[in-house]
This record gives sequence, C-alpha cells and structure tokens, in this order.
Amino acid sequence: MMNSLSPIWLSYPESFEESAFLAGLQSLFAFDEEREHRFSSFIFDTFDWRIYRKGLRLLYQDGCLELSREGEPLASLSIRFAQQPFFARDLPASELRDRLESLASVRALLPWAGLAIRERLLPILDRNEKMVARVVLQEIRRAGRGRSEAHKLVKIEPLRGYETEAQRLMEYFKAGGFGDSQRDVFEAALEISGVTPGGYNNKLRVQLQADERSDQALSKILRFQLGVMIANQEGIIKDIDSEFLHDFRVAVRRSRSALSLFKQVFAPDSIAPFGKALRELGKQTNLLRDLDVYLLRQTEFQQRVPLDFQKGLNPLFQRLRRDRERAHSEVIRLLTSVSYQQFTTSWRSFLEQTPEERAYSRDGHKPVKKLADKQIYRKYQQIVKAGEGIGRDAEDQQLHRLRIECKKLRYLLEFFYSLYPGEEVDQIIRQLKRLQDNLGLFNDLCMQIEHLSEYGMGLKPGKRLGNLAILAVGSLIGSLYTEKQQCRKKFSGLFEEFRAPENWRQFERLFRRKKEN
Amino acid sequence: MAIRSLALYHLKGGVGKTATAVNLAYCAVRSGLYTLLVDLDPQGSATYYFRVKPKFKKGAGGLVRGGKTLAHNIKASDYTNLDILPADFSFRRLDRNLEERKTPRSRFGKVFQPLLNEYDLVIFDCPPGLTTVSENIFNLVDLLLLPVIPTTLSMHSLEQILGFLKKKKYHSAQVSAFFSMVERRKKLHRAMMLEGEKLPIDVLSSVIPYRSEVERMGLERRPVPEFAPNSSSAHAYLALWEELRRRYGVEK
Repeated sequence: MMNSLSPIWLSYPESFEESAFLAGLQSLFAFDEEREHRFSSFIFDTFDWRIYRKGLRLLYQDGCLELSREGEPLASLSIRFAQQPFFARDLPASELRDRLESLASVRALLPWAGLAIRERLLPILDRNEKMVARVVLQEIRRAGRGRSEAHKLVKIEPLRGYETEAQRLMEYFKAGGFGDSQRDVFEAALEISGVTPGGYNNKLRVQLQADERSDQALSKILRFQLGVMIANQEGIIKDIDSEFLHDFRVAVRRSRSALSLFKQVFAPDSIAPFGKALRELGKQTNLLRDLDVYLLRQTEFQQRVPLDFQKGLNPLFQRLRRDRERAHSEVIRLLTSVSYQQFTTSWRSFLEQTPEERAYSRDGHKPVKKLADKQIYRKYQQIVKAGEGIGRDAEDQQLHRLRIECKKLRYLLEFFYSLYPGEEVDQIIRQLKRLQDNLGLFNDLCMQIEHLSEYGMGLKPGKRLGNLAILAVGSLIGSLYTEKQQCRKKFSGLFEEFRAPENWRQFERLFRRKKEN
Repeated sequence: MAIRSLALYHLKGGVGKTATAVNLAYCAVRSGLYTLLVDLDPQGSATYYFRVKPKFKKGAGGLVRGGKTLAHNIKASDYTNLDILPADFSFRRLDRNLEERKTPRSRFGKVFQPLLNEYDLVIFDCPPGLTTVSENIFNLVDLLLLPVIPTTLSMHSLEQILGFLKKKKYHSAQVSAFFSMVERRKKLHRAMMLEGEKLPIDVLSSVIPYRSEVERMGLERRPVPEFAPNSSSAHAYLALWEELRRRYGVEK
C-alpha cells in the first residue's frame, strides 16, 4: 500500500535563476541539507508494446522494477538491471514475474528508452525541524555516452498531514513561473529518446476507399506488409525473441496471399519476380520457425512424458538446439545478403509506382470493393463446400487444405476491413477464428507427430539412453495423438457453427454482388 | 496468523516502551511494511521523538468518537512509509471519554479498525498503568509486547500483569516479553534473565541493552539506526524486529 498523496510535477520557467529562487525559498521555508542522487531509469516493453496497450507501464528505476497503472504501482521487485532485453521468466519468482509472463508471454521485454537521472533532494522543514515536504529537482538525460540536453522537472512530494505546506510550496513555485507538468519520467523518457509508444502494430488495418483503384489499394496493403517485414529484421538478426521471425513470416504470407488472390491486378510479368522472391523468403525461413516452435514447446513436451522417461527427450532437444543455431545463421545470411536488400528496395519502388507508371493489367483499374466482394464471397463458398466434404473418415490432408483456405479468407477480411461495417466483420472473424484455431492445432499436432516419428525411427535401441529416448518419444507421440483425435472430433461442430444460416446470410448480405444493369 | 498490530505495554513507566516502539517502527518500514505508530501517552514522547507537533485535532473526545478524525490527524514521519498518529495533552482524559461509552473496554476496536485495514502494521505506544486505555489495547492488538527490566520489582510487575490478563481472559492473541535496558555486567540482571525462562509466556531471545544512544534519542529526535547505525543498540533493535517477524509472521 502506498502513500496516496500524489506528487506534484512542475516544469521550469523559460528563464530561471536558481540561486535567487532558492534564496527566496529559504526565506519562507527552512531546508535541510541537499542530497544528490543519481540513477538510471529504463522503460521496458515488448516490441509490439503489449504492456503499453493494456494501459500499463513497466519502469526500471534506481534498483526497482515496477509495473504500474496510471501512477499506481501494481507489482514491483528490487533488482539490479542493465539496459538490455530480458524475459519475464528470468525474473525471480514474484507477483511481478507472474503478471509479466501473462502480459508478455514469449516476447522479450526491450529497453525502449534509457535515462540517466540526477536528482537533488531538498527536504523542507518546519520550525521543529520536522520534514513537511520534499522537493526534488530532476535532471533527465538520455543514457549513454556524451552529455545530452537535460530535461528538467521539479517534483513536490507532499507528506501526509502536511498538505497545506505542500500547497504553499506549490504556490511559491508557480509564482516563480513554474508551470504544471503532466509529464512524469515515463513520458519524459520517451520524448527524449524519440520513441512513439505503440508505434509498432502489425495488425493495423489499412484504410481503403470502396472506389479506389485495386492496384493502388493492393499497393497500400503490400507496402504495409513490407514495412512489417523490415521492422522485424533487426530483431531476427539479433535473435531477441522468436516472435520477430513469426511476424516477418506472417507479413510474407499475407503478401503472397494478396498476390495469388488477385492475380490480374498487377501485370503478371511485372509481378512474377516479386512473387517468386516472397516464396523464397517463406521457404528459407521455414526451418528456423519450426525449430523455434519446438524449442518453445520443450517444457510442455517434457510434461507430457512420464517422469521416468523425461531424460530421454534430452538428446532430441540438444539436437534441435544445434540445428536451430545453424538455421539461425542461415537466416542471418539471408537477411544481410545483397539480393535481399535489392528485393526490399525494388519491391518498395514497384509498390510506390503511380497508375501511369504501371504496366497494363486486366483488373488494376477496377474499384477495389468490387474485387474484394467477389473474392471474399467466392472463398466463403469454397470453404463451405470443402468443409461439407469432410466426413468422419476424411483424410488429414483435407483438413490441412481447408486450413489454408480459411487463412486466405481471414487475410481477405483483414485487408478489406475498412470497406465494410466493422462490427459485422468482427463477428465473422470471431467465428472464423474458432474454426481456424481448431484446424491450426490439428495441423500442428500432425506435423509434430510426423517429425517425432521420423526422429524416433532413426533412434538405435540397445544403449540405455537409446531405449529411454525411444520410450520418451513414443509416449510423447502417444500423448499428442490422443490430443489430435480430440481435436478432430471437435471439428464438425465448429464447422456447423461456421456455416450456420445466420452466418451465410451475413456473407450474402455483405459480400454478394447484385447483378448490375 | 500474520500480525497486523502490536502494542508496547508495561504497568511501570521508564522501561523502554517508547524507545522500542519508535525503533521497531523504523525497522518495520525498512523491511518494506507500511507502518503507523500510534502514540497514546499524553506525555507524547513518541510524538516528540519524531518531531511531530503534539496536537490531536478534536482531542481525546475526538479519538474516542472515531470516524475520520483519526485519519485527519495522521502525520507522515520523515521516513517513507512510516506515519505517526500523535498524542496530545488531552489524552489524559481518554479514560474518562471511554467510560462514557456503551462498551468502554472495546471501543478502540471500532475506532482503529479502518487504520488496521489501511496499514500493514500498527504499533501502539501505551501509557503506563492499568487503565481503560490499557484494557482496550488488550482487547485489540494481535501481539502484546512487554519490555521488562531484569530486576525483581520489574519481574514482579510482569507477573501482576500476566495474572490480570489471565483472570480477565483478554482477547489479545499473543503475549510476549523481552528484556530491556539490560546491563550484563550486573549479576542481578543476569540472574533475572535466567528466571525469565520460567515465565509462562514467550520470552524473546533478543535483548535491548542499556546504552547512551537510546537516551540520546531525545536530543537527536531520530530513531537510533538513523544517527548511530553501527551501534549495538541499532543492532539490538534490528535483531528484536527480525525475531518478531520470524516468530509471529509479520508481513505485508
């Protein structure tokens, strides 16, 4: 529980003469000796600002890491920190760790802004030499070498029971030209560091107009996806966390989807090399992503296996870690290669072309809503038809294909979100997401079972660890297989919900084009 | 099981109640607890040690009536998270005000409940004597802490208190004693401390020695660890606090 008297933040006046001001202050109030205090402060958040988006702040200051909401601390930890990324799981067991794990999940917490703060503490006293308030003169500078501009603030900390004294102090400061400052360390830090909180958002929906040219509309969408790819590059190379690569690949997939769903919006010859490059990017990052997913699941997998066999998974994970390092080096090579740089430059140039500069295409000039309606409706019909053909004995492959079609529909709904009433599309996306989650899980389980079986088949029995490994992998596959069957059973119910009459009526209403005269 | 309130109490004055209350409160905030020290002694020594003006708005009557008066009288000490509820001279009338109530011996329960909820720990510095105020304290706090000088008279006094508590079956969850103002050179002190082991209550193993630093508190007007952090008294108070924490589970 903290003192509920909130500090008063003031900003310095344009021209300020410290010695005169302090002399004036001294004639009204007694002070005790000034103490100086220097410390570092950092703001931490995930690359995608998950903490900030929830209205919270994670600030490290002077040996204390604190999560707060609107100035009220929620959880804190005394700890020594440096200005580098960390994971919630690396913190000592504490409420703060629990909260951060649920907020950040597998993402690293990055130091978005680092400050070097110098505080001069002036205790204000009454005639009994009792402290009645604290005045803190803060100088905030960007952390790092070299002296940068200081951002100055004054903080008056009231003490309980001495509110009138704090009030008088504030009035004295204001009479001296000090102004209210809404800013606190968090905001000052971001401003000094030139950081916009919430600046990265890979889920942003691009604003389109219904009658906009399709080639312009699609260019906007693709430029945004390219931006996401570029934003995530450094995080992949530096290996900060697994989600940089994930977001990168999602942007690649969305780009490829857009191109394949709208084949005639750009001249096929002009777009072909880019489609090919994107396909290559997807392919060359597949392995690293698969390995990342395995390693993220390590604890979960170990827990599925009886205690006595768990050690048997160690050789598997050792190998996966080695393979992962190798795959990561390959991806670094890819992203730092000249051909990749050339791709991003030329792709951007292509997408920035004006309609006059573009080669002729069949559909480029058509209003985007017309094409969007058509594709979305068609995709919905394809999904319903494919889903109907999936009976109890259907092959796994049918579900995998359906999953891909659902993904395409989802991308379409997200690309063209701005063209339709938001609430209704949200509802459709919610339904679709439930189906996708089931198909996604099913696919993951199938892939895992397949890979593990392959691995297991290659193991040699006889040596003790060999036997243990076989038992471990076998029981893991067994556990995954049970889950696969449960997942499969849920499919038909979810599909029925998806294609229920209320849903297809909505699709008709929103996306079916009436015959035009 | 965790303790949220404790009182320093003894029949006699001058046994180290206030010094202990002040220094324990300081140790408590240093270990992270949001703490309130309540001065119930009209002499206002605890209030004086923290340099707070000995003024309680609405006086003894206001305290007994309760409500927002208490919160309005709280003053922050110079130390973060340590607040003081000051005493003033009108507190000599506390007993009289309490006797006017329907339930004179349990009035403090109602009056102090909001503060017990707000703070992690509330420490009461009690006036000497066996009065209605004392009985309210016996009914209210989780732990009654009795400082005892290891002399015959002091131990005798302790036995009187224990007899009284047993007879009246007071609600107070725990009663504990510790030796205060101890001079180990004195054979009498050493002998009395051994006698202490025979007492029917918990006797803490931490002992507060008789030291000049503690007397200097009146001049310094700060807790001992602030002006003499390396002294044996500072260490002794810290050890006492740690022992209390471990034994009685004082925590946030």
